[in-house]
Amino acid sequence: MKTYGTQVSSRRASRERRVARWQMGAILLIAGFLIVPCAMPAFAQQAAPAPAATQTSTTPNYDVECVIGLQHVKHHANGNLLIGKDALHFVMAKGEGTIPISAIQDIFTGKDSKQVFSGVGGTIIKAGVPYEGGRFLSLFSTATEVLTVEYRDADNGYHGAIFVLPKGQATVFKRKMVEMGAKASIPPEAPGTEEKKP
Amino acid sequence: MRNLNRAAFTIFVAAAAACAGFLLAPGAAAQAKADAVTTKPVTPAGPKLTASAVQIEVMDPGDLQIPPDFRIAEYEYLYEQVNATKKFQHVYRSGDKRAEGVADLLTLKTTVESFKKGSQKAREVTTVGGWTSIKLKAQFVDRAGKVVLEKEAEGKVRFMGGNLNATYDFAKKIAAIIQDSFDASGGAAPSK
Repeated sequence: MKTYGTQVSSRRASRERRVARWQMGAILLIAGFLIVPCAMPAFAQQAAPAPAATQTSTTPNYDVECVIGLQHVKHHANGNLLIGKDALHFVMAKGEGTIPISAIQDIFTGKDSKQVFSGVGGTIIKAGVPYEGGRFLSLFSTATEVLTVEYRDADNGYHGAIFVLPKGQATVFKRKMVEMGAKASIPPEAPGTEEKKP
Repeated sequence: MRNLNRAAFTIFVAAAAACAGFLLAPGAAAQAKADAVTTKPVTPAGPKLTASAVQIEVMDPGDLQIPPDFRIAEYEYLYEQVNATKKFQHVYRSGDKRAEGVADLLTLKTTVESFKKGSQKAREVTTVGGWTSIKLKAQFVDRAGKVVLEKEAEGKVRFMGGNLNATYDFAKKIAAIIQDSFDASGGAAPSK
């Protein structure tokens, strides 16, 4: 009896060990799935070279977010920012917003960061991680730049548009627009220097 | 046994409800007090105001340094929210030439009183830090320069969302003030 009891307890213990091992494996797998996508944008950010100001390629990458301020463009729409002959174009998969260069009153650039897990999807993912692990995911962010453009419409009404661009692009766009005749109270800075906010 | 279980469950639910009430009541009272403080009326309560048009001016930052994106977001959200109230036949942007001929035009001026940029990351990681807040004084001024309505409102982001959402929160509060203080004039569709 004693031997049988010992066998049962050792079998139970080995089963528990196996379950614990499975659980640990599952946790590591989930952690891997969560961390790898977090890390990838950061590596991509480092590897990507600074793009040219006028993107003339026909393949759109929709990596610019228009937060607010363009007519016929929804808030937080993603699209491609292009400088045309005499206007700044924000091209989306469906539709386009335009700001004539001559209507631009001022341009500002600033540095910001964007969370990797943002928006509704990101919030759901964060909420789904047990033991408040969503807070850990909030630590992952990518560096971005904010391009703020003040302009006037045909009736001289004041407008402002805010674009969030990948790091290094806002200053390039600003310099190009100023070269084309857009007004800017703060001149475009030399590469590597930070613009002082008014 | 079954009756005992039922009684235990009832006691447990009652205790939980009492605890929840005990925890939530001070918070709700504090929130109500804070709302009362942030939207104190300057004009005496009386008949509602009317105007056919309003022109929204760009925020005056005062002595504070406000990032340009906050300034623009506040302006654009305010324009949208004021338009959405449908209390005015026309909502004009700053500098709009069409506003010059309107006799009963009101001008909405906003002045920053306090600003804290905060941080989304700090907010979401710590919960208790990184809050964004922007407190502004809003004035409705008539053609003669008389202030017909003056209120304070504060836009805040406490937990979720980007920093610029504070400007959206502020604009929503101004829209609520307009809803409370103005009567719709006419019934024409708001301007775009």
